[in-house]
Amino acid sequence: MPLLRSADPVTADAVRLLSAIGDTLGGHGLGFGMRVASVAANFATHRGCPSDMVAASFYAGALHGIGAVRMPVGLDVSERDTAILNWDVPVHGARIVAAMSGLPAATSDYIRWHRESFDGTGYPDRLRWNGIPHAAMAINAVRAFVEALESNGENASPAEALFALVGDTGKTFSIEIVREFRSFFAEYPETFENPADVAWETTGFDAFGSVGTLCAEIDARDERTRGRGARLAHIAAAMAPAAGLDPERAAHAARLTALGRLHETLPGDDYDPLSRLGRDARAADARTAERLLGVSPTFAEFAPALGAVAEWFDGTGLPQRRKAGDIPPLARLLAVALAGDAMDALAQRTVTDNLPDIPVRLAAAAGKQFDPAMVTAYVAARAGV
Amino acid sequence: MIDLNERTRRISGSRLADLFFARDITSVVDPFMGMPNHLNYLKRHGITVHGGDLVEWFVRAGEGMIVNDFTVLRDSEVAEIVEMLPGRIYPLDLFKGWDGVFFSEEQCAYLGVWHSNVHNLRSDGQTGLAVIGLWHVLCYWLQKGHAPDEMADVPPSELAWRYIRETERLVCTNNARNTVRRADFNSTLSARKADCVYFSPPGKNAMKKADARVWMWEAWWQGNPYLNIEQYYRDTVFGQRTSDDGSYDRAISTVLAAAQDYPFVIVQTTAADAPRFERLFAPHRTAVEIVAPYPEEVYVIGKN
Repeated sequence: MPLLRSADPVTADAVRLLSAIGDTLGGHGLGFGMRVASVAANFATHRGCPSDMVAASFYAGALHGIGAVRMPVGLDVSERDTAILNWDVPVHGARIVAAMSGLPAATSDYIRWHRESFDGTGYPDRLRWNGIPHAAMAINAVRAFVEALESNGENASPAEALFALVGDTGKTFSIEIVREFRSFFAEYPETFENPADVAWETTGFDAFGSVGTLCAEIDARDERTRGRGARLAHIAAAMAPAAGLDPERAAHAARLTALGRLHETLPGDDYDPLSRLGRDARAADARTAERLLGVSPTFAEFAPALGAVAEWFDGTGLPQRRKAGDIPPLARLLAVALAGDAMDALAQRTVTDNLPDIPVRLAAAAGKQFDPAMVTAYVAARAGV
Repeated sequence: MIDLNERTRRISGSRLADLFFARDITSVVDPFMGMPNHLNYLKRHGITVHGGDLVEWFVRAGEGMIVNDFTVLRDSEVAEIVEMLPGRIYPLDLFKGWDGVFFSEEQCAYLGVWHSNVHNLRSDGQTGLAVIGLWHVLCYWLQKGHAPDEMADVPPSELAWRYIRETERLVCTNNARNTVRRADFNSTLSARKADCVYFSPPGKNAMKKADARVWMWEAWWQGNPYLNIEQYYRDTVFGQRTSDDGSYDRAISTVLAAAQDYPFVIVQTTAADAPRFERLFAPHRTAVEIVAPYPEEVYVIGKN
């Protein structure tokens, strides 16, 4: 893992998690963004860049893919239209990062222009030649290199990956940047990927706030879940004291449930949350969230709970068929809150006049799907809210 | 081998979009548009755009990616552009003046073929797209002249095919009428109304220092390898007498006066020149704001 000298551990962990979200959205393996960040920072150091540029290159490398969170999902459009929509991913990423305080100033613009091509055929702005910031092109070169390295899987050969850059000299990459990368590569044939040592004081970076904002963006991709994180956080915080949990921690965990929904299609919520239909999809969401949270020590404490929100109290849930007390209390709390919110959303979309009130239906599932104590806490909190 | 400019202006459509959205600007006129990639970005994001320039190939490019909402070049049509068609007589020596100086004999022959094929295209939209695609080929060749061993050898027709096919993605619609015209700034500004005038002003003596990749492509479009684009600007306010500060300031003031009726004027400049533009804005605008993301990318925004 890359080192972030002087950056506080919570910031570093938040960046890791945000980077992992970008990786998932971009279809890469977890760790891709951090690998790009590390090589980009080392490359910037090799080029003799000042420390703020090295740090900006690191953060831009780590967060280069998060703009995809603003891409619409479930659209039935042609390959051409999809490609054109993707041109906006770097701009979305730049806007998201610009709204985060504490990161180096140039980070957002490095993200904005990291997919521009030297010959003027890149995106989003079709900048050309020296109009593209050198550092942004360097990040693109590193991204292409790491991508080529990953695409070869176990047979990965850095020398072959380097060819991905060399073959595009004068098109995607300037002659200078390829020369510089070759010199970097030659000078550090074994260690070029060693963790970057980035000196940057991230003052004012709101780690939980930034992650929460991105989670809200994930929720907003789907009309059914728009604003869900905020609603869940509110109700989870209200339920927490009755369940013997910390309200702030419960609210954070509630927002993080969005991490499970980084799919192209989101079928899970089309079913009644009290039915077994859609249980596989909900369990898959839970696993995705758990896997993502696992990359970041600060947020990993939420992983077991987020991974178990689709378990049923009677032991017939998924993915591990855990029962009653084996399910973390936070997961039991979130399971009720998620179901309540999904039923509210369903009631807004469809006619549910013939169904009993939501508290009544939840109470009927207590002991089977839900922890009865959590249902009681939910009903009380709902009445209070 | 010809010198290529070290510096390239960063005209970013996405940055302009950020500035426009923050100010509820929904339409823009750029009287010095150059290669209108920024207008294409703005069009794609719902802004109504109008552009003008005196260099004709810029206007042709604008017809391809600004005015044109639907027309693309299909594979068969691209094929008819990039290669010699049987039975047609081509002016293979049209660009012989560049042979051995800037390009090889084969490249010059292709430039003649493409000139003929593009001038025979049926629609302005297709012509514009072909002009953009083939310009990238010219740029590639000139760049390769500087680093022959480091850039891949790609057959001319293959390179042209790749770049022309790529332009297809520039075609989009914003459900508005977007225009480009070959005209000076006065005609462009008086022809259209919009929320904002944006321009990146020509530098002092810009016409004499025009990038080879710009003037050579105009020469190609006109079919005259000896063309000098200085003549286009001779009778404009940015003509021969803008080498001194006073004349240049007067030229800028004339443009700002012509944009008087527009609610916003945004001028893109550098940190070094921003105070000059701020001063020039004063007689024409009630409020002036500076947005400076980088020293080489500064926006002076005047509002009425």
